[in-house]
Amino acid sequence: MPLKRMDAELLSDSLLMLSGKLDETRYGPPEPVEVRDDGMVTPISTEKGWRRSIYVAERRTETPTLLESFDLPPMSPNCLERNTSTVAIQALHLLNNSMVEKLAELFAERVRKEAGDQPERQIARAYWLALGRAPDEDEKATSLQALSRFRQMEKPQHEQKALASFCHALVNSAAFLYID
Amino acid sequence: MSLHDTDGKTTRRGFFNRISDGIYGAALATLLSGDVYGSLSPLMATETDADLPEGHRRVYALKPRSPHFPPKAKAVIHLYMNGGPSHVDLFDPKSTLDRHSGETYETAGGEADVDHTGKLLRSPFTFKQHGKSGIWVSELMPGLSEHVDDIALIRSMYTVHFNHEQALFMIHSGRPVPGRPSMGSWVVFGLGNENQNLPAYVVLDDPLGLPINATWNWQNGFLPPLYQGTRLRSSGSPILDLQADFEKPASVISAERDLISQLDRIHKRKHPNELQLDARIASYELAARLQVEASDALDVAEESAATREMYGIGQEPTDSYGRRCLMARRLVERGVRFVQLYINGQIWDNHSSLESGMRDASQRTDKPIAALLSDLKQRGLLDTTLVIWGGEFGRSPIAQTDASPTAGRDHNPKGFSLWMAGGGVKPGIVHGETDDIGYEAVENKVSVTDWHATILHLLGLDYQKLVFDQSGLKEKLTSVFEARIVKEILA
Repeated sequence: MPLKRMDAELLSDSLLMLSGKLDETRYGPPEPVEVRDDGMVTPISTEKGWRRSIYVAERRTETPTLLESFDLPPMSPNCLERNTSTVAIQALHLLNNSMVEKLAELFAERVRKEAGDQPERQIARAYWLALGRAPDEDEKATSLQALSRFRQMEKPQHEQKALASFCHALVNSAAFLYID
Repeated sequence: MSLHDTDGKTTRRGFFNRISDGIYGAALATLLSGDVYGSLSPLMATETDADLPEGHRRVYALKPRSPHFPPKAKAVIHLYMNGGPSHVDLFDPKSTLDRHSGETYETAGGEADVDHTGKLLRSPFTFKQHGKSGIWVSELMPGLSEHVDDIALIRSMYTVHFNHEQALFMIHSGRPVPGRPSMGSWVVFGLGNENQNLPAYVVLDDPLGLPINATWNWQNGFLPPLYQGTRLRSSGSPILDLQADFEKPASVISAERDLISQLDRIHKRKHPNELQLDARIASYELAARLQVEASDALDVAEESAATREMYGIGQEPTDSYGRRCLMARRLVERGVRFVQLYINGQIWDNHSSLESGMRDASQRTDKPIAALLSDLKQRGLLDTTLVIWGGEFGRSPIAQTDASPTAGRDHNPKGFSLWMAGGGVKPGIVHGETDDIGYEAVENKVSVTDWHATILHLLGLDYQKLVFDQSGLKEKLTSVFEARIVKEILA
């Protein structure tokens, strides 16, 4: 079975869900977007977080950047088949975008709350939440090593920041992005 | 690695990975690999590319590759004119059409076109001869008129379908069907990139909107995903998120990237033969290098005020297209192999309001394009950069709506104009002719297939040798069609 990369909306909504910031309110009017001077477009949050991508207002010239980078089809005139591109722009977005970073931090907070302070349990919990499975031996070893490396770097509050860095890397990884 | 996954069930993937160790490993891997590529390789480990199906490689990368023979062009700038610009109003004046304007005329389309009946419509624009070559250009393009001595104008192009979607697939990828690699993908597959810090195939589409067929126009089709076009924004920041948008020490960022890379390699080992993953790893690596070079490459503010003025930047309606033309020059200057510019929607698709539509489209593009030609020439880049202007088909000499001023023209796949400049093209010539009303190409006809073969030739590529095996069929840009390289336009 070939791997399938997550569709744009799936990626966006998954990141929100992991962070606990998915506002699951259904129906009703669409959510507006905010357009930055440099052209970055992000959906505006509600009090509970951000609603699912399907509820974000779609204007041809104001497509949320995350969705656009990950091949949200332009509906003018219509889309016969969704594309899957693999470009550096996507990498840059997940790596450098502040909203993705923030969501990763919130994801890490949730992991800490649900799994406690022990690194092994944190890693397992992060994998279960993000990938729906436990990490295998290689992944566990690599993650533990990385987490300990992050802890030595981030001071003060180094433990939580380290976990956030780990979570940020995890949502950037192929295992998250590609559905098995 | 265990036969079972963590749930305790055997997965197909786990099974195949398990038995790919040991004595059956190499043979099985080869068989599976052969199956993926649709042809069985012999039961030996594949050590070299030569053991793989034709065109396949053990490793796909964007390192520069030698062409089949010494090239004239090293890079391509494709100025794509979506919608089908009307040749009889730009480059192909027809006095017979003028004389018989208003008379009813009938054409039988044949395979490529529908039958047309209607009133002939003369061009509302004035034509003049220009330069030493005396090439005719209408009043719509004063900028290009100064550059006729640099271009080879082909008046006898023809294509195979009268509708945009199919004609776009044809002109970009060689057959009127979706799913095939675009010309840019073939070129970077064949030649790689001269600059590993920038994408090999860049698309500068219009902030006002994507062309018809949207992102299909620059896809890799069945070629490895590494070779697809990378869209860069031409308004606001060309690449968003080029640098981290938040505060984090560089050492931490670097450690995060290392972790991603390690996790991805574990993932890749578990998923062999997934070219998407190779492309993904390459995209992360390119992202790191882009941070070094891209913001400089795309920064038009670095250019002198005179240069920016020449391209029409900061003025309307040329600002947007001007920026993109200047970016294209900067990109090829830095070694990018293939740059495509698009305009929004299809501004050349003038079914009605021909006059105002064509004036608008020309005013947005003519000055920037003339500037691009001047600029490339002045920097000594034109000799090695192939510049191409054209759309997917032409327009009909018969009016679609004939009431002035909203008169317009329908599509015409049977004859259209296209020009090329630089990169080994003979300057200041016209090749081929259409009939006396500009409906059908009749003399020295150039098919899209011929045109593709000619472009590859200028880049030093033999269109018959740039092959990628697909289930036993040796796929090429020109597909299964015979091509004739248009030697007459080679310098």
